[in-house]
Amino acid sequence: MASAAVFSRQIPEMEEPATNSQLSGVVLLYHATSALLISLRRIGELKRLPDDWDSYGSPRIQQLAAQRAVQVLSAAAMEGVRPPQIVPVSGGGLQIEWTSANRELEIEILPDGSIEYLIVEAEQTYEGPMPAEHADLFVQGLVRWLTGTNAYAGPIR
Amino acid sequence: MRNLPDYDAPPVIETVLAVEFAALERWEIPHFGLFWHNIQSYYPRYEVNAPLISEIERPRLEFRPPQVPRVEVLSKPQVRCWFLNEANTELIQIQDDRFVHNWRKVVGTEPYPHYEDHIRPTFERDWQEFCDFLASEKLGAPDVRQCDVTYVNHIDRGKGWETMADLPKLFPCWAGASSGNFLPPPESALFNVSYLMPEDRGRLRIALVHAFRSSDATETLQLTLTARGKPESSASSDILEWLDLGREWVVRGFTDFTSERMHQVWRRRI
Repeated sequence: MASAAVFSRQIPEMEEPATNSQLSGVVLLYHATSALLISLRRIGELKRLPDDWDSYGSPRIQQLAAQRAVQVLSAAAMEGVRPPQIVPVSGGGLQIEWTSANRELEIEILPDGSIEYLIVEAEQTYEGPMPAEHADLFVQGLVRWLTGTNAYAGPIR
Repeated sequence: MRNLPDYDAPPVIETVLAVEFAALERWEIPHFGLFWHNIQSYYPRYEVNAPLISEIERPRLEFRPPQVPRVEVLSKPQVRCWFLNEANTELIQIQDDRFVHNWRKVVGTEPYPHYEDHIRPTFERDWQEFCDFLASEKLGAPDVRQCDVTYVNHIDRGKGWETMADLPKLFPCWAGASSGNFLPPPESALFNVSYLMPEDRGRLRIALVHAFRSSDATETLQLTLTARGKPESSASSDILEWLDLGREWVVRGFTDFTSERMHQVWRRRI
């Protein structure tokens, strides 16, 4: 193969290691909030649900969904929010729900790892997809909305 | 023949054998592709990444003043290439001062391919291929500065421990005791320990972090053992001799550092 083809694409397919090790995909818990620890343990419990956990033939929680949920929860923890309700969704996804006095935030992680969100305030609702590559910023904006008083103005609309 | 401690179900999830050498002055970007051509049958996939920084061990711990930020003008782009096998379980990493071979679990169920049976012979084959390439392209022989053996282990929650109060059951050096009874059991833990290898052969570092593995949503204790040191010379035989020594320190160090109770969990054979 011609050497010019070597650099024809640069799509990192694995996460970057800190050292020579290629170890990837761990969230260090030493500085984790107790809310994050509680949430991650809940994901761990749900990940162990078997196929047909809902008696309607749903597959178990999919790996991509669990990974994305960890990303969402880690981003939310940066805002110091309390632990959410985390429930399994038929098809192998997860739903993460926070409520405050008059606001609700629901983030659904679909089995393929894609993300959708719904915000509710009084009778008003807004829902839409959340680009996974910007999920950290997006989630932090949503959590600030949930715990604040300002109208929602997400980083990406 | 295996004469070091050996386990049927070791918690290792990744191994690293690495050689750091003086930067090859004539190494240029096209050489990555030319070298890949030689190893593509073993490593058909690739990724391009930023280079690793140098972490040379000193014979003794030294006081080093804080580094002043500095700006370097690079005459050529600094690149590291990964060349991966089809399953992504093995890769070699090349940059102008580094050659690294990694084995790792990807799915999580892959058995550890033992050092003597697979990891060492594969490193030796690939290192020789690399040196032959440098010679054929007249890029000079590597002037080796350091070798590195790293084993990353995941001790998952539910397999020998449930809370941090169980740490003394895992690590004999951690007594879990206190002078009074004020403190509750630890919520989390992180520690680093280093040991000098005799005759200035290098240093073994052991690091424990409490972590959550995203791939399968599992809480774990990540125990990393890294042996680093300089071989007698840059000859391949001396590099392999040092890697054998480093690996011995990692394996014996792991066994010393962990409890007999955990050795039973990992089904120790020798």
